[in-house]
Amino acid sequence: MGLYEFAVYDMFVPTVAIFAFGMVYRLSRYVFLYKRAAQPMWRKTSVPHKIYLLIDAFVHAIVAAIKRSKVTFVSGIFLLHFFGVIPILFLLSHHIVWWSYYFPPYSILSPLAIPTSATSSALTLTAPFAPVTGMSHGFVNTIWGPLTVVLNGDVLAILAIIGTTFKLLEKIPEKFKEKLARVRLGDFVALLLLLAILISGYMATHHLPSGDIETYKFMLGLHILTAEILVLLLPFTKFFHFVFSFWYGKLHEAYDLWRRGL
Amino acid sequence: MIEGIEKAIDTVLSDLDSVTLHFLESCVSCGICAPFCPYTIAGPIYEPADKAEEMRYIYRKKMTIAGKVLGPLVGAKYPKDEKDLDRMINMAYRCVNCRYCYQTCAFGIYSGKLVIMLRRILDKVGRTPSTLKYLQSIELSDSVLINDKVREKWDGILKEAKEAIGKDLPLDKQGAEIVYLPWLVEALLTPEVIVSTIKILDMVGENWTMPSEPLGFEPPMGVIVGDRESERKVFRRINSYIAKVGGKKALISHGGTPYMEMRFEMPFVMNEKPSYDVIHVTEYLSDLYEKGKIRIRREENGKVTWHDPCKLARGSGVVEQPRILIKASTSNYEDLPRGTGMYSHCCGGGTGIALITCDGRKLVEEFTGEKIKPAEWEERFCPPLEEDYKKAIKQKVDEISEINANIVVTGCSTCIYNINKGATLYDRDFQAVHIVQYLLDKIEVT
Ligand code: SF4
Ligand code: SF4
Repeated sequence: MGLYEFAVYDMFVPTVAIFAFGMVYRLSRYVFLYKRAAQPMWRKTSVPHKIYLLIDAFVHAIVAAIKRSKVTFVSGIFLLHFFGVIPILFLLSHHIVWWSYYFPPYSILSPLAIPTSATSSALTLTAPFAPVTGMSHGFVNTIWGPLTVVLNGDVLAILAIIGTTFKLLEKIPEKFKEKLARVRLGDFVALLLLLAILISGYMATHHLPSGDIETYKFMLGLHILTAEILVLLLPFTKFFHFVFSFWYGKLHEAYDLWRRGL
Repeated sequence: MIEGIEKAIDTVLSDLDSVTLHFLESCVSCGICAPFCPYTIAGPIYEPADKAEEMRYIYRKKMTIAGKVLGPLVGAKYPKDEKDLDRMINMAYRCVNCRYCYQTCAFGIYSGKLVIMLRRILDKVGRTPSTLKYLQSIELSDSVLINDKVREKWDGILKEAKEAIGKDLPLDKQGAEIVYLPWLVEALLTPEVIVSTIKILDMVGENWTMPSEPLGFEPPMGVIVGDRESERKVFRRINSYIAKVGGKKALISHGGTPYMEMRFEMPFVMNEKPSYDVIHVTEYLSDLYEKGKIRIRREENGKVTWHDPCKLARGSGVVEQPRILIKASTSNYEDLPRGTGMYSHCCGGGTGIALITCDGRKLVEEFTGEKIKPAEWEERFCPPLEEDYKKAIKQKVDEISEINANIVVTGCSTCIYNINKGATLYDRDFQAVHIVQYLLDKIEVT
């Protein structure tokens, strides 16, 4: 059995099971530690102001980064998140098909699909006719139009790889020269894993390092397996922020801002 | 292993709640909060998330499976020797609890809260700076007027106030609408604020009272040193005093720790809603002004700015009120350039820091006439802290200098002390004053 078969057939169920167990474990800690306490007198703020504060809670750290941590903003937020991992994970055409396979309603996002490569993007612009495809939707035929010149898997993956590599390299002097306690071993593991997923995905898409089927299957298998490792580690690592901590933290912050009437 | 450390850790982690769990578990080490902390200037190891990591080491060791099994490999450990304790103390006292890290964290993590947890652990193993311990003991005494010297100072303030209003002060009066709560720290740092507040209350014909002696030094000192029990004790004392005199509103002129703690944290700590409102004198005055009960005379005496005390603005939402009042008094007002309100920059010396520097200790000694004997470890701790404190307050005075302000109005005695200290140290030509002092001669009752 090859790596591809192992990743697709053997690892899928354990991955989902460990992920589910981890999520239940982590979330239950929050539930059990929830403490009801008397409330201070809330300051009065209008509903529109509350909505503003809710949005602000999600936005102001980004603004803070733009103002005072430009490098973090460009590498960590812009390249790694906004233009890298998030659109690739959720909107890359291959990934939409994958998500839709396990969760059919996801296909509703198909019109937003981002083409996988720069070549298909170029076709969007230059092909004189709509692509003929037996599938329910043509990948090249997305609503992004000319934007696909930049909004395609190749460009986004490269941006994400640059962002991830930069973050990884940035952490080395932070950890070993400046001796920052907040830089943890887990940060390196997480970034290396992410890098492995991105690079293997890019290589599989481009049939690298060689075009034969075995290499392709191996690379795709590696991509799927590393992604599965991320999923099963997610509840136990900093990747948890993506499904829970970020949302919880920001909602709590908005709630606190309402209370204090800022 | 350090004696008593495990018990201290058990106690502090025993009242963990889900929000603090989020603060402990969710940092991704992005560093966005770092440039906003007033103590990052002391070195990158004092960035908010780095200080908080000290608490995370302990939390992981105590409360996570990975931490128990893998230990230091996953950043899980207990402090084990003097060196570790020294490092912990340095972290715990390079934070003024200004909440700026919370406001700028990508995940809404309040690192300052974890730093206070560190102080709680340290307090339980006898590692609280002696000046703070001494001030806490004053606060926990039956009377904060601990000796003749302190009593004399307090009596002097009351006498001055009595002369200023030309009648007896309504001390401990039953059934007053407003209970003015001055603290001993104000008698130490800004006694004129107490006198000015009393004059204003009298001038507007308020039905008010105040305790014949302060109900605390800077309550609750327990939150500053990290002692929950003493926090509760002092809150109980304040609540029972207000219940006894039957006041409806507690008026506070010190917009530092006491205001924010009483206004927003006390209900959580005591698990009961207070029977009275807590208002800062700025809110009180702006309310009178907006209702047309007072007018403010315009007077142009150079450029005026407002420094938002962290606990009053970011911590309690008092942002607009002082600006309304000051703008009514002058056309030459300018906001501070590096951030206001929710994004204001701290003065650098709150939550006990100014008073544990070597100068701060001398100030307290002169005030009380008693000698504070520092512990042996404080010889290592104090001089570098003094240097870092000076760097932290310099950032504030530089910000003020950027707009060439002449008068810095604010609402917190600690901020006034720190800003004026910075102005002296760095030879700047401005003065910080409390808003009641600034407005006193400009208020006209309609
Ligand atoms: S509360 Fe203020 S001083 Fe403390 S770590 Fe956060 S930003 Fe720094
Ligand atoms: S901004 Fe928040 S997540 Fe980032 S390092 Fe600071 S505390 Fe950690």
